[in-house]
Amino acid sequence: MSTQTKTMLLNMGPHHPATHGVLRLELELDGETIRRAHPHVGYLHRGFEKMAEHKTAQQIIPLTDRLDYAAASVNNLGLCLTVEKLLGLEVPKRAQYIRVIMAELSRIMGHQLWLGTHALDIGAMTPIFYAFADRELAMEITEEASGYRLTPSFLRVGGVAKDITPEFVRKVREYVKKMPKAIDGYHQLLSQNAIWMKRTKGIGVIDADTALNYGMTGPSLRGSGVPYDVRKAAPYSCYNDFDFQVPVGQDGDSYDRYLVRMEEFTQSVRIIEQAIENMPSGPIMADNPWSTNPDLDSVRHNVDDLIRRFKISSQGFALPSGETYYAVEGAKGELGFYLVGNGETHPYRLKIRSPCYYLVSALPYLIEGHMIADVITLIGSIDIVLGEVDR
Amino acid sequence: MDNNQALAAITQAYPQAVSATEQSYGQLHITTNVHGDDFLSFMRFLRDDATLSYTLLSDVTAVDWTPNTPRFDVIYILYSVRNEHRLIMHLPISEDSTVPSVSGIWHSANWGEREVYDLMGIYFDNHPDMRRILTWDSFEGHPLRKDFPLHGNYDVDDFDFLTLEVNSAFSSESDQPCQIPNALE
Repeated sequence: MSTQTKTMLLNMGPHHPATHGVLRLELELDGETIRRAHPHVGYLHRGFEKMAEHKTAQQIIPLTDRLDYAAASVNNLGLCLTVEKLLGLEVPKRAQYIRVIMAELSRIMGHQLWLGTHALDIGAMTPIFYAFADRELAMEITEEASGYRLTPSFLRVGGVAKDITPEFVRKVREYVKKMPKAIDGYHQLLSQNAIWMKRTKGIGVIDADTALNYGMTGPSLRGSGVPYDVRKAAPYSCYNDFDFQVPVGQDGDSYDRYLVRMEEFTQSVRIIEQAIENMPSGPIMADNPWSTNPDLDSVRHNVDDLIRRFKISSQGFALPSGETYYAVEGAKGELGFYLVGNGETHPYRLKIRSPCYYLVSALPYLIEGHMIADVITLIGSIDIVLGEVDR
Repeated sequence: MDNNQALAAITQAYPQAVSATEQSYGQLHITTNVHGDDFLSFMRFLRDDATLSYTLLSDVTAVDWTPNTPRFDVIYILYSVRNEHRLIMHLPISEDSTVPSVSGIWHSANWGEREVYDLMGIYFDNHPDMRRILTWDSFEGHPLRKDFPLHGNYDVDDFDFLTLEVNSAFSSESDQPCQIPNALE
């Protein structure tokens, strides 16, 4: 009798709950060990880059909300900064501080969503309840500022949509006070948990050079020990005013990536605390007659400002000829926008450099040689959002 | 490292590779006119050179400048983590020419170039897996070209979802999906 070994092909997704959206993975299995893996993306491709070529700069902001919908404000920030760079706009300091608060809140919200679902995928059910309950606090602050919870579109080219209220300040102060205890709670649930360590330590090890070579950025790269953070490397929007650290890991495994994100909670709360306590006064919108809206008060009393607001809202403003790339530190990594203007109101070309896209491309390397159950760990540990992968 | 130092290091080693430079908005853009193996060795030099060390290829993209010639501008966004310096490289190519793939130098070029091929229709030579990535395999046209209409080439009602083939990345005979018996039969 002869035995024949044959590998088996398994399709995972696109509707598997652990794939965090619509990711399809083809796995070649030898028993339960994975020989090869191949991700298929594009199930959520909405053609944002093509749509952006037919919209004005302000109209693209809501599209960016839908990239990484778990952390929307930081995407708005990336687009606004790119357009402002092309226009040469100087944003007032108060607006920049409000933007930083919104961006860091969205980063915390994104990480809380990651923590809850990552732990749930691995089998720990408790963290998701705590993470989502605390995420609600950040959602309420976002709602207080913008009126929306998940997709705020709060930032505008040149500033922010409206000034913050005393209620907002009160809520943020309360949040900053509550969060350190909540973060300690997450640590108590998982960081020293024997099952958690067994499931994440030594899983998906990637060294620093390979991670860079695959284009990994953000917490997933810092887990491998590369201290690359756009907020430190090329500070934007007053980030050099704040005192914060960039946590890095050593081993480059899932556990280190977990620890890096856990430490980012603390650092983000620190940034929010500094921003709300040192909030400068002044305008919240740059004053440029060609590209920024005048404030509502002068619109009501001055017909020129009324016309200006109407023209900028309806026709948009011309983007000068030129090309620029601008990157911000998104919740998942380096989120960049390559913007080409040609003197018209619509961008000639807008390319979104999505961090998750390159994180997914590294998945085959990470998965190879592991078990099926570890695939779930790995998808969670690089923290992907398919809205950003597919755009 | 600032823009001028980076530019001096590049032009010193490869004086013939840089055809134009620009420093708009504080960023260093260089345009190259080398092709084929020279292009690959130039790219490898940018990554491996001890002073430059552009170890991260952030993104590969392209701009369609139709009706200008050459039609496309392939753009490589390189970043040096050690020097905290970003270099944007432009490679102008015509519609009917191909570009050598740099996926052997940076793994991230694998998916970056696939996306450019899918959305812009620029073919990369010696790429390990040159297939569409964001659209499906039987999709016709390249959406980000300027001659592709915003609403697509056909109406959604005319689209036949039932015959859409789901393709596998592993196409050899031993890798066929296993048959799962239908529980209802």
